[in-house]
Amino acid sequence: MKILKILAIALATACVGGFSPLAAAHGERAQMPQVRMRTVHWFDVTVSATKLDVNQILVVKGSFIPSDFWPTQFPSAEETAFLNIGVPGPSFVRLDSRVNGVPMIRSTSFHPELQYNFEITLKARKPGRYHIHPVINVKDTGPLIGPGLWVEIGGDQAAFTNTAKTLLGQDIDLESFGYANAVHWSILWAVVGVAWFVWWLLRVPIILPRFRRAAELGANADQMITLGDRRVALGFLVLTLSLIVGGYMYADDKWPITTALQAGKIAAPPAQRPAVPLDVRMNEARYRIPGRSFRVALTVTNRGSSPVTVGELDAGNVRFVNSSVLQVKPADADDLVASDALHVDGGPVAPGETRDIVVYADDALWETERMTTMIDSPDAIVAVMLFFYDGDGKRYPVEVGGPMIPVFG
Amino acid sequence: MSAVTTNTPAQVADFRHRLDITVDWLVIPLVIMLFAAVFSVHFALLVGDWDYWIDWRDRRWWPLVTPLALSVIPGVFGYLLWDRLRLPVGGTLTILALSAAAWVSRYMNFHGFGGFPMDMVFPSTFIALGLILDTVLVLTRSWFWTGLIGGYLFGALIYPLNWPLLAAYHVPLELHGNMLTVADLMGFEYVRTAIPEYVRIIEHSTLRTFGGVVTPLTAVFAGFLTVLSYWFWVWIGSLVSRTTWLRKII
Amino acid sequence: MAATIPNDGMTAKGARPTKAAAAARMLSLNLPWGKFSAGLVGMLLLFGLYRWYTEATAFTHGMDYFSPDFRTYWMNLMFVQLIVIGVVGVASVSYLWKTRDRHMEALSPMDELRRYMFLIVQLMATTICAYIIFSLYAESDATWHQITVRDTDFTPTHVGLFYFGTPMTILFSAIHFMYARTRLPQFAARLSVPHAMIVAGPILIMPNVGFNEWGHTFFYAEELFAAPIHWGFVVLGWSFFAAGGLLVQMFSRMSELVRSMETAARPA
Repeated sequence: MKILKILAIALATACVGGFSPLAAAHGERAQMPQVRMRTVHWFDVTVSATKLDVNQILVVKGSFIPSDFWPTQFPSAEETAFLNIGVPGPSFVRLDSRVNGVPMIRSTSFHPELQYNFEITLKARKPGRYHIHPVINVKDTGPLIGPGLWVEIGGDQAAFTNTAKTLLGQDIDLESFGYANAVHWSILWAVVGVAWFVWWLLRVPIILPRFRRAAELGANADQMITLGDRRVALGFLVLTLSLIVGGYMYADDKWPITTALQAGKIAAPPAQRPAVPLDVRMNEARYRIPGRSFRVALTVTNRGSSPVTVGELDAGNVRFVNSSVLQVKPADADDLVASDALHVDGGPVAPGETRDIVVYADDALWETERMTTMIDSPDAIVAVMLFFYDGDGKRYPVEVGGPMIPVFG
Repeated sequence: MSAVTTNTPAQVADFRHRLDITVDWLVIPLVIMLFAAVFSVHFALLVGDWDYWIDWRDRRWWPLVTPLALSVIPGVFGYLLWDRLRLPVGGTLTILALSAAAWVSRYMNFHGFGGFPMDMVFPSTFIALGLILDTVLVLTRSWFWTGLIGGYLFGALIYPLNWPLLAAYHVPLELHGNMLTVADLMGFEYVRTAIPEYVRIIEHSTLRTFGGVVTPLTAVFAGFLTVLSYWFWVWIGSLVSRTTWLRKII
Repeated sequence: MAATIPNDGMTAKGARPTKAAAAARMLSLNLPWGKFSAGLVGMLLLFGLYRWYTEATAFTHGMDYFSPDFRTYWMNLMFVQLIVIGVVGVASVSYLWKTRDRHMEALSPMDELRRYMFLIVQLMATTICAYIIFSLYAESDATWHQITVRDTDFTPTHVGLFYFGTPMTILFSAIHFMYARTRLPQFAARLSVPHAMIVAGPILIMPNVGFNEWGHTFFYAEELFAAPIHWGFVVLGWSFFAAGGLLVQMFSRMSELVRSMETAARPA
């Protein structure tokens, strides 16, 4: 009965149109944590506006580094990958998409440990509130989703315009280009097809009488096809072939210059990364289930000239921030930032020093984002991105990874 | 109250006529719905993406895969309709049912539910191919010749048949220093989160230029495959039209 | 075969030939067209309402299986519909069995023909259901998968397609199969292989959903709709090819029945 009651409430809510709040996730919580932690590390993802109107431009920017711990059971982004955007349907159109300045109109390859800065330019098309994620689709691995941010589009979809100019100088409206032509041809063929069917329908009733007659005639059932039928069939055949040939000639005349659909990969150059004056080795990673506490023991060698400490740990789009190093506030209610969830035992590592430190990332986000299912994986290896900061506030991203041991008590 | 009496031949003849009409009224819509149902799921899961998106209808795979899958249902039900009723409508009627279902579904799903503009997702037209099969069948009254002539034309003509609908989308344009077709541009701009560009199974290159001739080669091969496919599925049609009874299940 | 047939509504010779009387003079199957139409309208309303609910809630409350919203709007709906369809199915099939015709040898041609028309109407309901599922619902799932990231096995369109539409098709199939087995002599005496095939197809879609989800979980990441992982559904859809054999079985028997009426009516 309880289920029925809840269902009735859901239906009643649907009836009055009061749907809120919106769901934030796009299925990423269904992906196993290793896929999220060991494929692509996203950071600095921003949107240029959180509210805009139809036809206005939104720029989604950020960076990513493909993991060096990419699970071997999944094809790597080094093979075929595509920089995409995660929104339900074409709520936006994508005007431009670049990686390190190169247009990503088709697929490419991304290499581990290299940094790629992306910028996707979108134009708002359909009013609504959307959780926008950058996505990298990797062939045979699937969509790898970046952090999501809420964006609201106002205005009227009817006002949306999207035009382009062909190399022949024709201005076209991509919302309707060629559609009326396609409809006309489809109707024409439907009329011819229905006319053929009607020719046979004219002699209704046709099923049982013809069934009986065909059974009676047996091998001679072809007698049921009259000379008139054959003449009409010939007429329809000639009409059909003429229309096909005529239609082809018409199209060839109207669109004399065409080309093949374009395929092939585009090379994405990596960004120049500042040298990281650190050697970091993960000695141990343990996840303590009752405390939702992730503990990483590291050996850090600082080859730089300024003391460094860990300011942030990113695991599968969840950011655990050391509030004594930097202040990060969630951009919206669903931004996966734990602003004060990272603690470091061992203090800053001085220049020239090699020291063991322990980093704790403790937050309920491990649970709510279903990262805890990593303890139930056949491949209990994790990887996280650590952001070290030196005395000048300079940031050094370093990926570490290795086996993870769960702690049950 | 019903009395049990003997009926006159005229009454029975009248009854038979009305029964025949009633059966027509019920069974014709029934088989049209059946064709729409079977053809839709068959076509969606064998051709689907090539027909969903304007930027999938290439010169190499779309004109090859489509007639191969498209000739199955006309073969199977074409046999039934011809063999048992001498109605040569198996090609046209099944494809009409598919087309009607496809238009409704594209409009309601890809356009209405998904939000894509119709010019990106409209179905191709195939009705002419069904007409070819049916008319050749009437003229030859032979499965062999229908398969050979009709099947060949069925496979070979799919591209020219659709060229008046598709040509406009193959006009080139420039985007950020790259040449694209209009269809490619639509595929790039209208975001598909889970169908990235690389998923498209389309022509990537040819080894020989053949003086620019690519599509006719596919057409010739598609025609050949469709002949074989049509014959095979007509044979399957003959099997499934049998009135097989079993005394018990096991 | 009996030489006499029940004849409803004969009027006396010489009576004023009003329209009603003329109609009454005719042999009639007395099919309940009103009920058939009401059933059709009811079915379309049900599927239409479901579709409306999907459009209204899928993108707002159906994107994340692990959210409380999903439980409220979709999982509850799924459990309720499965229970209702299951109960209605068991009740309908049990009722058909319990009320089976135990004296089919006494069945008049007219009554048997009438039952064939009922079977045709049930087959029609099944094919309308199959059309809605195989075309509209299946391609709403195609749309969903191509514009969203795959969630778990449970998404709004899967709940509609696999846990509402497919069970509904199975329900209709089970009913017309049991109807034929319990009310039509030739279907009761023997098993029609084509009939069994068109019932088995939809039933086997359910376990094939298991294969589909297994494949998408373990090895198939993309949402290409024409992918080999989906071809099992194609083969099961092909089970409907056997509708040809079933129709031939039905038409043959219906023709025999009419012929027997003609023979009975022929003057000695």
